Amino acid sequence: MFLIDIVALLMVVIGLVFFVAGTLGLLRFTDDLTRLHALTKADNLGLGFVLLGMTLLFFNLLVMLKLLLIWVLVIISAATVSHVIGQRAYKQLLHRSESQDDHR
Amino acid sequence: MIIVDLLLALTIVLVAARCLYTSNLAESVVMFIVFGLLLSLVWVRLYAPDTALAEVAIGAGLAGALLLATLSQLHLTHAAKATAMARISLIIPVLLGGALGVSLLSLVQPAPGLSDLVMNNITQSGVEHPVTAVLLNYRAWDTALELAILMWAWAAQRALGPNLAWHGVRLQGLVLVYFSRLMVPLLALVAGYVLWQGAYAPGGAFQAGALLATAFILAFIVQQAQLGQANPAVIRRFIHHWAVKLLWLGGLLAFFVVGLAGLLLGYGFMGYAPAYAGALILAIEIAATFSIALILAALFTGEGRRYE
Amino acid sequence: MNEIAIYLITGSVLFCLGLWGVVMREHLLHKILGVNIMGSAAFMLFLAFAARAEPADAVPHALVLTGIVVAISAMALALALMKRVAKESEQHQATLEDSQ
Repeated sequence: MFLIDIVALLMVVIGLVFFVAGTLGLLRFTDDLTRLHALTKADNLGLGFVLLGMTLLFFNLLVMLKLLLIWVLVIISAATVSHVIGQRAYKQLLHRSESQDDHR
Repeated sequence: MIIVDLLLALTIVLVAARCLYTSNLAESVVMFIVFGLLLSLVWVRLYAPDTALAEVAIGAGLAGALLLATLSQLHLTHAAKATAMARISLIIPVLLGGALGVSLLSLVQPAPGLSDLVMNNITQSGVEHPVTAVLLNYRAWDTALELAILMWAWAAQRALGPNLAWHGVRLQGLVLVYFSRLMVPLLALVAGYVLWQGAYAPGGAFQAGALLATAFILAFIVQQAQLGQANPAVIRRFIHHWAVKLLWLGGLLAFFVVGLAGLLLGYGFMGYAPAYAGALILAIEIAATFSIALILAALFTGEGRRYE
Repeated sequence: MNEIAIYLITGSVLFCLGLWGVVMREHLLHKILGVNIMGSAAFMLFLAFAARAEPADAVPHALVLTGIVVAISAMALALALMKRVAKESEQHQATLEDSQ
């Protein structure tokens, strides 16, 4: 029992490290597309580890399935939202480079 | 856990201050959404899972969608920067609020409030979950009038004239369409689950209504984004169809029909026969869920009349 | 110091912060957000007081649940008012420019 607690804690901590990395990327990277990349990739993995830790703590099939559902839904919506934001950012990027071309 | 509470409290104050202080309105709105999410964590820490569910769906989700839509409709980007005086005066609310909070500390001692009354009568209320019992049985009046307030808000918004045009960017690809085909039925399913669960666990008409409203709004936004502005929005016309508008009033009507029936049968206005209380509450809740969902969605989509 | 004390102080500070936003910020959006933050602070005080009972008092929970829905409808109305104000002042501006 005690060992499972330690492993669960380790999983949650690993997940949080990924979250910190993703947030650092969001704050420190320079343009929208790389920021999106840092955020979605690191956070999905981080959430996966946190939820893995949670399933170990609860060890109940119903809770496990609910947590798995949460993870899948978060991944799907993160992918969709970053697709939409990415399209907008890419259009702005094109717009900006076009207006720079006009100036030359 | 006290460290979690302290960190959460500090973060929420900083986020609220940033939300009001920044002159970048988009940042302001995003900070308000973050504020709503943090607030729902606070509600969990204060043993109020029902309100946490409602806060996530309404305070963060719906409010965020409304605010972002307003920003895009009005082309808002920046407000005037806070003046030097405003910046210095920011210390006043922090000090004043802190003093006010410290003066409340003498009240931190066990106080049962009304929970004994709630728990003693819960076997007669028809449901097992105390919050649902208060909402739909003990204080059904409040809940009925709250549905009336929603109707009033819609009427007042309608009186303000046509909606402004949307300025969405037309999206390429079908990712959003498939996303909404997956999520809209799922949201409706989860709304039904939350509604059913409200009888014995956190959940109920408010949370289910908010989830269903989110489903409508998601479908509406996706339609706008994929079709551009030229096409008429099917979702908006569906919500404002006269037959569907009867459902808007459904919650209020269900309350008063059941209430009058109780009066005639001698249980007093809005009294339920104990044997049927559970079924009656479920019926009212189903009607209220549709009312809340449709009116909230209508507040978001507007009627579709435009300025010429 | 327990969690109830922490959230009582936080709620009071948030209420005053919201009031600061309503009074000191000029943009209507800031004022709307300020009013909503004040409302949420009031909910926080309600729920903190409810948490004193064991188990937590259900009546304030139900009140806050109702309050959240009323707050969102008030916000929707406030935003509609703000749009109307923006539209009116825009038209007003246009008529001023026409007459010059």
